Amino acid sequence: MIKSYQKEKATMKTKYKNLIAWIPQLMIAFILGGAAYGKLSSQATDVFIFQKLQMEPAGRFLIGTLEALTVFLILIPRLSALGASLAIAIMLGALLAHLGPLGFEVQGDGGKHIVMLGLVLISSLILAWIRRSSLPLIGRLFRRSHLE
Amino acid sequence: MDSQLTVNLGKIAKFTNASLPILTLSFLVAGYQYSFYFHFLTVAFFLLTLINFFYRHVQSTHSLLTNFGLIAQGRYLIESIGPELRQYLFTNDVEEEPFNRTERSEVYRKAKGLDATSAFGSQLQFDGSEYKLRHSLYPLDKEALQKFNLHFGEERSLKTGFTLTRPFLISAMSYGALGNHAVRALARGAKKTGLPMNTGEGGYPKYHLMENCDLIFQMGTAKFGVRHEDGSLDPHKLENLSKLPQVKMIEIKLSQGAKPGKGGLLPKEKITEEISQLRGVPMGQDVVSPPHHLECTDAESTVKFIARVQEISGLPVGIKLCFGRESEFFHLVEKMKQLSIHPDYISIDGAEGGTGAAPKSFMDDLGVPLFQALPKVHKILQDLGLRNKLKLLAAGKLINAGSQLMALSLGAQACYTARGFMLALGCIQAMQCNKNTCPVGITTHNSHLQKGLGIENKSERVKNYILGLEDDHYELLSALGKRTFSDLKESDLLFPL
Repeated sequence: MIKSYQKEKATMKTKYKNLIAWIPQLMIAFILGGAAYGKLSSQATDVFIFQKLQMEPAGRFLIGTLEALTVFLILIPRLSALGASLAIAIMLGALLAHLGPLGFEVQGDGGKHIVMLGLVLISSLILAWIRRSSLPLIGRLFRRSHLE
Repeated sequence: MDSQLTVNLGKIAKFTNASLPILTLSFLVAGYQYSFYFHFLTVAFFLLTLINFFYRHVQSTHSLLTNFGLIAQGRYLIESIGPELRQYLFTNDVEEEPFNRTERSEVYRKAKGLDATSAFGSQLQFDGSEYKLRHSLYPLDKEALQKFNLHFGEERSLKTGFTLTRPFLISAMSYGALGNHAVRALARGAKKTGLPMNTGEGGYPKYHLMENCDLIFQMGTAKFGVRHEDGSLDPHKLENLSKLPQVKMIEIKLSQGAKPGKGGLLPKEKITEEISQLRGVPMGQDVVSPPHHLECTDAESTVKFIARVQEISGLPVGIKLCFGRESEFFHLVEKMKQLSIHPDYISIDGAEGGTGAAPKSFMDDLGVPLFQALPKVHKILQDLGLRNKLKLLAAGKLINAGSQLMALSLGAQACYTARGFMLALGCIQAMQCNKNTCPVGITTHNSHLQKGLGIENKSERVKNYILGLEDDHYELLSALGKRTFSDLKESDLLFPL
């Protein structure tokens, strides 16, 4: 009977986890959704940024599409671990841009972009940790039993 | 001497581990110097470097990943498609188990109604380790053969007796082990040809009944469908079930060849409302199938339980068991004789029998194989004078007429096969019956996977297989120079050296 008690505990834990995961999931979806919209609808700031990176317009559409895809993945619980990995990758890319040609302040925004970037990066790291057992390549190593 | 061209996987792994951070740095520089697009690679390789670091220095569950890093994933990746590669490309036609490709394709061809001849000669190696049938110098014409007939219940002069007109039956496959499409396709094929089908121990046979074929209701050790909450027999439920016009016989399963002496556990997650109703078990808690019937603890109680089921159902009642200890079986039959109670048939399930799920050691290491068990059972029944009081059935890997005739030569009067019929349904031996992922939709409840199993279409294949198998039986019988199946003797068989 110990087994069934453990099973019960595990299912409770999973339910609790799934609920908590919605906080970072919605956060990422909201911010990245806005960013994707900005890029795909050619807002002036985004065009400016990608001109600086010499990736205008192909790079802007590419990143915008990737961001939209990430939002889509993040909102499906089964795929949100994959979404989190993609979000981390995109944010690392953004960080490289800010460390390089872009600088920390974009068109005198007082660092708004970098704050958003930080929020998404931290949220996706938290989400990746919550859903670590379904991460690509390393998920298996976190699965202690078939219950998790 | 070592050849000059060798692949040293260890060195390749070391090289990979060293290159990952170097490549990351190179792409970082290139991203700032040449084109920002290089940073796609910077990010990707940075993450791979992190993962590689994690494999080698953080995790400790997989030695290969610790020692060789990312490249060791190749092993797991390729290994995971090993079963498919072996079956598609690398295994020869006669080396797979439980059924090799020649055996499977024989069933497929029958099921599709195609020409079943092979070319150039047997692929088997006749090294004295095989059973073979001895043909006659004077084969009989087909017109001289007698039609097969087996009357169950005649020994007790039952009015409700059942007559079997082919030397084989569809063995126990429950709804639960199989999905509803597969059950219905089998049952419809059975109905088309008038062959009876065993329901398996899945409780009330809702889907089997839909197609109106003749049924043998199997009562497992948990008595699903006819049980009280404590697992004992509910006589009213059994009586009501026996009154169904489709139910022709009852079979008490004492043990199963694939897992003799083992019960099972139906986890509560699998108990849907439907399963709970059909099996007569409560929802929300695990249900344990005990290793034996509550009522059967020794020879006497077992024999009395058989009598009780015979009385309640009013139908022919058989028992199914896997032969284990000879002395125990002897005592059981002795007790039957002493109390003048005997089942209407005994079905011997060989250790090579199939199952949806069983521990490996139970499948591999327990129970007597069919061809060794049958002659012993036949002899014990003969010695105690009970051989003509009951019928003897055989089960266990008998998917073609040849092996079924061998079982008949060893004393059986009819044969059960389940996996033969699964192959007829289109089983590709993916060996995933316990995972709910059966790629051809037979042993799964996933509606997406069951979509490919058209009930009408597959029931035709079941019908073709039944007719083809019957045809083979008579062909072989005439080659053996026997007029009836009951003329087959042990002497018609060549035994392994």
